[in-house]
Amino acid sequence: MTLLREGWITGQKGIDYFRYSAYSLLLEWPASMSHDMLQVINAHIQAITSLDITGVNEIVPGYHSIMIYFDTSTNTHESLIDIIEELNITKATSHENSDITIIEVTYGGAVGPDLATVAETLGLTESEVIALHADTVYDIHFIGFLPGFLYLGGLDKKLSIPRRSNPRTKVPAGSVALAAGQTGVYPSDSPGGWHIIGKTDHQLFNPSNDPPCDFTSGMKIQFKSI
Amino acid sequence: MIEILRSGSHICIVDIGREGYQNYGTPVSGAMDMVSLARANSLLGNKMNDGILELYFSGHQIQFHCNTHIALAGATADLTLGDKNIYIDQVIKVNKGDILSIGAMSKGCRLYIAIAQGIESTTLLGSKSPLSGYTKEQIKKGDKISIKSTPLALKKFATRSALNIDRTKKIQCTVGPEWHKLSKLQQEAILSNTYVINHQSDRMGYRLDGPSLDIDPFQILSSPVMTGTIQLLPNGLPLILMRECQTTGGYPRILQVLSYDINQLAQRKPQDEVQFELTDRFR
Repeated sequence: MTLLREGWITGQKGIDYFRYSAYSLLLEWPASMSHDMLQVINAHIQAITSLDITGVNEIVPGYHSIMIYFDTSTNTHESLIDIIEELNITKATSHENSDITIIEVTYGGAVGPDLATVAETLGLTESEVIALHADTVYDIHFIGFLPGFLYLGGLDKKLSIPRRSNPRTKVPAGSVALAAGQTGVYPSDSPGGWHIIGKTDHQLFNPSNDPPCDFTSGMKIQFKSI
Repeated sequence: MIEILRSGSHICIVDIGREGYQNYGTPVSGAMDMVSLARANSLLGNKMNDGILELYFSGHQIQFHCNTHIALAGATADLTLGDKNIYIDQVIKVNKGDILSIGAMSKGCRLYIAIAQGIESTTLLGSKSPLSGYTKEQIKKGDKISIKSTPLALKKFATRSALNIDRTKKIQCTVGPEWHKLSKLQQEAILSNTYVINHQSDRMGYRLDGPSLDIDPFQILSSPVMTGTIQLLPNGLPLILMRECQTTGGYPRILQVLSYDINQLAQRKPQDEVQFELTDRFR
């Protein structure tokens, strides 16, 4: 192992490690938002989870990274790095979940106030925007920003549009929105700068349930126009 | 039961926070100053994770509708119980009807009030701490909070030490994942600048004012962040993520505040100064 960038440790299997805090270790792969990277991330989450390491409290993914939060009385950064470097992960060992959850969406009208603008800006009809949005199967890369906010991969490039120039102070929960090459659903009322094209009644986060969200990284969803 | 007669700036119920749900985007939350949470709870022999009150700034008044014992920790403030002056870091006997008034704070800005056997309130995902959008935004005048009315067995408990609040102490940090992307000059500037906590600062994060770094703004693909992570905003100023921060972020993570010093920051308020110091040990 060699020291490359300040604080980083380069492993033997393409993973860079960073001692993030006394009780957290960051794993990082080359920057990518791809489906292939998602599979690499997921294979590692599955493998680390299945080892059931005492004191590994939380495993939190990003696009090309994983943070492991651990109990310092049973683990060190080094002991975890050693375990992860020993993992034998190949494409074959990562099994992909092919189930698709359908999320019903009411597009346009009062609940999708930006649909017309989006269509006009992109030179499409409203029906075309809806079709492109609903025809895609989206990967859930990870959950962040807000509790239950799904970072989705796979938006059709034709639906790539910059953020609104004036963000809304309150976007209602359930709003389906897009901007900057991404699409998502606001799980709770929050400020937001994305274009709202519809609304779903599907509850994405409910802290009275455990787990509070039906989704985890690696799952797939598709929107359906109702 | 206790009743809020007057709410100054902000009151919330906190404990050690919500662990194990960050992969669902759930903030950890918990007491801003965990040292004072532990201190107050330990004085009463409470469990470390028992719910207690976090009071931001002065101007609060609380009435007790039953006999109990309390212990306060954190900020130094002018405190009265009925017509008596009381002090932090002690066990105090409270009689039914007593009114606790929190006046001017001379040191720190967050006061913790532990009540014997803890506060009873809704637990969401294993914690009583705020979960924005799902728990009550804040506790207000007229609100009543359930507590257990049981006399405290008079004995000495093994107590946790108090936080030594020091407004001038440099905040100790280790390097963050993107620190190396800054030039030597930029790194030196961040470590020598004196920043001032901006008014737009809360339990989620502290915005800082000060000399803005001359940078070509860059972002990263969203990656995990945690309490104490210092992000560099596109305007060249640092943002310190606090207890209720989001779980992932796209701004460069330049520094990470040592766990202990997050408590020190929790006791600083808008207009207070912050300076960072680099260490290579997590302690």
